[in-house]
Amino acid sequence: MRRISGPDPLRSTNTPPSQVHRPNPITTPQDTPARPRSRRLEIALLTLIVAVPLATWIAWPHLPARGSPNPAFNGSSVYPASTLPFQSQSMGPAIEHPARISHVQIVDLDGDSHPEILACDALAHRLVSYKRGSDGEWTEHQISADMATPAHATVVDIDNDGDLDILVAILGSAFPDDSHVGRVLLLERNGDRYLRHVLLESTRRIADIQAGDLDGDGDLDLAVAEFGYARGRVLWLENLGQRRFRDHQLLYAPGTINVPLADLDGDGDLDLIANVSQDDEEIWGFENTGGGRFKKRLLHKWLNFDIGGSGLITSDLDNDGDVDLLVTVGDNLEYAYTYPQPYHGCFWFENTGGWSFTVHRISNLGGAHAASVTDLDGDGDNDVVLVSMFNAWHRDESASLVWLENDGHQKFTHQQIASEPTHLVTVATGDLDRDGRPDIVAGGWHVIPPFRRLGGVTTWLSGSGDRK
Amino acid sequence: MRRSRIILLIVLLGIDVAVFGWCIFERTSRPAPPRPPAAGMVDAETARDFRRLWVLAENPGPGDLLALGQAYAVYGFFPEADQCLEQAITLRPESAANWFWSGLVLNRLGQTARSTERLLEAARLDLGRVDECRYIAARNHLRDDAHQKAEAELRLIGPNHLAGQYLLAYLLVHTDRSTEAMPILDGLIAEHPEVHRLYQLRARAAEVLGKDEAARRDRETAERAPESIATDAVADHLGERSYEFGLESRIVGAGHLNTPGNLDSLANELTTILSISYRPRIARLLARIELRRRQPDAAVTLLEQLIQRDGATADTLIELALAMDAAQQDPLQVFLIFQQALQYRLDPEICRLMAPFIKERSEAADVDRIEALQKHAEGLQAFRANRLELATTLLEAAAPIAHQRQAESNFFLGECLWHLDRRESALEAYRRCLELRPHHGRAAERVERIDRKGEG
Repeated sequence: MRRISGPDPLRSTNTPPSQVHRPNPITTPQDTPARPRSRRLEIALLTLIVAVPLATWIAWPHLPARGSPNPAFNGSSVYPASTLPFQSQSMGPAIEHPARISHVQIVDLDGDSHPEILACDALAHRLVSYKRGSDGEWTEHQISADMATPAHATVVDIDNDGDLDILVAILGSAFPDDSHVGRVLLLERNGDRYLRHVLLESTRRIADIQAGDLDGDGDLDLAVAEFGYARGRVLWLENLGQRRFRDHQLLYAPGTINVPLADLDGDGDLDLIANVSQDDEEIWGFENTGGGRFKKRLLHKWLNFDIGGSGLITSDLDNDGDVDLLVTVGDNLEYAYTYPQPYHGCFWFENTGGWSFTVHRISNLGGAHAASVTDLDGDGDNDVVLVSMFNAWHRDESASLVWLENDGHQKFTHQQIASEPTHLVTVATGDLDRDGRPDIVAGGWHVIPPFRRLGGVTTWLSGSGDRK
Repeated sequence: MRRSRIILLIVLLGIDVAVFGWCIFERTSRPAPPRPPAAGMVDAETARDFRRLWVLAENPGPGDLLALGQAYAVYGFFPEADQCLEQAITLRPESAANWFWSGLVLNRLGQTARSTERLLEAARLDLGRVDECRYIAARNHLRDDAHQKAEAELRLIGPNHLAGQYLLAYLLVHTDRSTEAMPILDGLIAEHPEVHRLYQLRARAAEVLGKDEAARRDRETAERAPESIATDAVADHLGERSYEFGLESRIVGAGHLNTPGNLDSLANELTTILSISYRPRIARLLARIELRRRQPDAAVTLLEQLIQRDGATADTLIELALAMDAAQQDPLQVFLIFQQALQYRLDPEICRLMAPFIKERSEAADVDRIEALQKHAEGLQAFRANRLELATTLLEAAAPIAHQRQAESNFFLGECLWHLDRRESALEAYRRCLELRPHHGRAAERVERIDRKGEG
């Protein structure tokens, strides 16, 4: 304030010093009315000068964030809608609780030329079939109950008596368990009933059974995937007659999911393939060398611990007369919440002869869990149907069922059939409504959230759309 | 003079407003944390916790964005967790936890290269996490089919990180370098003789090297080694944090009520939790509390609902049978439920619980059979825990009795005796097994092997 008594720098420098107004530091009659106003203004300005930072400081922690976060990553698998029309329908009563359907297939169980759906219900521990009446309505029949988590059913006339029996792989527990809770069950058809026999017990969790004459003696032997948990095996069971089977170990490894049988080397006998997915992620072949002897061959291995092998089927995908393999990867059940991974999908193992295979990745479907091969669009080549267990289910558009259209040269284009129900683990194709077009059936296994868009057994009947 | 002061003050105020206005603009322009998921994606309690954390993260103190990111991650909202953790890193790049959790979340999103970068930065900031970060980074490299990079990372991991050492040995075995893997596996087995996966891997290596007998021995030992290796590091980290957020956190809080004087409060709290979101393990726990509160009918109802919703297991069936027994329901029904449980799992506890019912209703031979079955089940447990002397005693008691697993009792008795070097007795036990079940593959294989080599 010392400057009050000094020269006013705003005044004109031309003003003579005698005329320079010397302000009275106390008051003058001339400026009395103006001064309080300017003083008030000064005080107000000073207050504002202090208040602005103060208010900012006080408000600082409470200032809302109005900016947009970086766009969220989206790893879900979504594809263009199917050009083929399908009509979906849920089987059985409305789903109230998360279902656990471990296996579905389309099979003519009773030999009346009307195919049925056979499903393993691992939640209710039963085996059921669904039969379509002439009015198009489906009727559920319980074939067997109290089965301690059935994982897979194989329909075969094991006793060669002209009717179809059912072999059931009993997991014993849907969740990790290394104790001897598994069984190989035979449901022997006897008229309208099934008689239950235990063919093998005191084993760890059994995931798959397949039947075929493995030792060339004319009867049906069994291939068995003892999945276990930390320990497991691949077995073949030699049929000794009268429902007695001797077990032989082919491989000691936990986590075998599938053990399909096929003549992989074209020598006229059945070989065995094993899809191992636990400590190791491997595909093994067991070359049948005759007389119940097998030569073990490692066909493929992934060093990616996390790839999550989930399914293996055999099929001559390229119609060249030999047996190829289709392998799905996408199982991440070790996580409480899962997410589709860029390496998930489906591999075609093209059989090039002499136990050699060329591996082609034909799908990137996240959480892919099972495959089925059929000529869906009627153009004479094999298409592939895939289901996903672990897509990004928080997004409504994520695909749960897709088909891969084959251009005839094994170049595939994805088409999305459905995004619900979610968590599909098993799929089969066949002509359910006998219209000459393949239909689809799939099963849902809901053990990991979100528990929305639930489904048990669901069919997609093909419509009369754009077929070639 | 006064005018000039006023002008000066106006200029100052202008500067003030400009500077602080810019600050406020910048502050409000910062990215908002990602919104909690829509209603229906999670239960109401978790949604409330998400909102609470979101409000904190909107004006984040240290750790608030990290907490929201962790909450999203443990409930499976990985893209949203990624967004949170990006912001957390921007705000606090010095926090190793921010980088580490970002690395975990990116791993779950399949963004392996970014995940590895984040993890290695976390390792740089926090030396205590180095081995863990390198292990997950190695797994990321394997997911990218870059096994050489994975191996390089694993070779930097300290010798005390069992999962890392195991994975290194695994890589060596699976890239045709079993000879190099052998000394690593020998060292690990010497330090961790109870871990079955080490024997399984060494068996694989031995087989590759043509040492079939050594491979067989290791596989037999693996059957009796009870411990495993925690190789799913990311899943474990996510699981460990799940109890800090949402309904899981409330469940942990309910656990603190579990004292004899608080049973009513605990039952009320668990009932509320079940009404918010049905959790099978909470239903089981509540059923147990109801039994302790002498409310067996309520326990029966809870367990019946549980079995209908989540499927029966041996454990839930045992608990249902016990609740039905406490509720004085028809003993025959109780017995049948125990019997069903026994079909699901051969468990000595089920046998023990069934014995009184059998004593009341059946002949002495049936009592002997169930007691023998109990000893058989206990013997198997002892065998798997590598307690061979105890297993032998139990199986010797079970083997002569005609129970439903008598052949197996003899087989496992043979296994125990074989590993105890009592070869003659083992051979006898295998042969008894084959008398009872001529097509018992493993017993036949043992006898053939002994006969072939004259090992007996």
